[in-house]
Amino acid sequence: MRLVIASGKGGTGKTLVATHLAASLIKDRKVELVDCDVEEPNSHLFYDLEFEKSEEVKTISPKIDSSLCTGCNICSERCEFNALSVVNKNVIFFPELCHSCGGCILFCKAKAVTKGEKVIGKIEYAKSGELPLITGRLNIGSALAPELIEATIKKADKSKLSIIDSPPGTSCSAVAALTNADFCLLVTEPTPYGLHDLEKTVLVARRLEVAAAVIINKSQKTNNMITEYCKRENIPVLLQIPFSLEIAKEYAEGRLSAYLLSSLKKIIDQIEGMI
Amino acid sequence: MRIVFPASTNRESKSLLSTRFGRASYMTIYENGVWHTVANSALKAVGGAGVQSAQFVINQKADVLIAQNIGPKAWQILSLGDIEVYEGITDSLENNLKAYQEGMLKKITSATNPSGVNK
Repeated sequence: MRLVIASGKGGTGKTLVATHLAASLIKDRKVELVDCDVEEPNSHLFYDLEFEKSEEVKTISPKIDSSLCTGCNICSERCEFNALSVVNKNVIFFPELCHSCGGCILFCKAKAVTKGEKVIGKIEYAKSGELPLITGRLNIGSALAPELIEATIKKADKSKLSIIDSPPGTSCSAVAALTNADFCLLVTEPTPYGLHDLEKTVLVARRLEVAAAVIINKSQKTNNMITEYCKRENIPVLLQIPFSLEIAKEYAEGRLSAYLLSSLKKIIDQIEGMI
Repeated sequence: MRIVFPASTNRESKSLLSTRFGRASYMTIYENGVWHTVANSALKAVGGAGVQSAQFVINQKADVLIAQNIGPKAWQILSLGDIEVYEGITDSLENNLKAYQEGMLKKITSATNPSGVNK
């Protein structure tokens, strides 16, 4: 089962929920944590880890041989990201703009643009006691977060409960993490910004046909703008994490909170009831 | 002699020269006393607007480009395409043309600023 922790707004507590949920369940079931916040993965900070291995992730990248170029310019015209330019039968390639779609390779009849590959990041495997942690780490400067997220999710063990810590936002990266999930937990906070981005993320989850429930972090009142919204939209609120200096302190020191471990452990049965 | 100007508006020769190249609103072409303006399709580019605009200048078979800012990627394309690039003044296109014809504009010999940044 794939359980995705998403948020919309950054800094609402995705990693807080993902790291505690995974740790709270490890005694009772087969679980693994998959950190797909590939631009800045940080789940590893909260565990004592034993590093196992890492592997490079590659995607396709055009290989250019300008001596074969006929100057037809189709590669440049077809590229949605302006990563190719053709001047006097010379193909100029800007790798930092390329999104690895392969369109240029497909359309070049002269074979001046052929299939090559490039490394976009790596997947790291580690273990904290019985808990496996798989981390996707995007190379600095690479724009291909969705490709790396997809590759990282592929490494998840389908026989286990895979908890996916996803990137913030609702763009391609977040969509890549949410696609084909069995359930998503939307972590938010009772602020206008938290609500705004929650609404957007709910739209994405619905479009992807992924069932969702909400966890409210930094909650000060039981009834707030998030609970009102969730009531209107018929989205269950599974937990309200209090706005607590103590939790913040423990988290800032990289420790897991006993309070959160016990309260998050309880919600998994509710989630399974909704799938 | 075919000259391309990145332009702020579509008022032909009366338009102000755009401070931007890649994401200028319009591209205006001057040849033999005739002005012609087109909307710059690179304005909507997700990325690489400078690349797309430079490719436009190449495809137009221009001889000269008069602009205020040229980034490194656009420069690579323009220099390979043997386009002469001149640094324009903050004024109308017609005054830029006049300044160019009088030899008052400085030739640009390298990118004027980093990628995605105006001076």
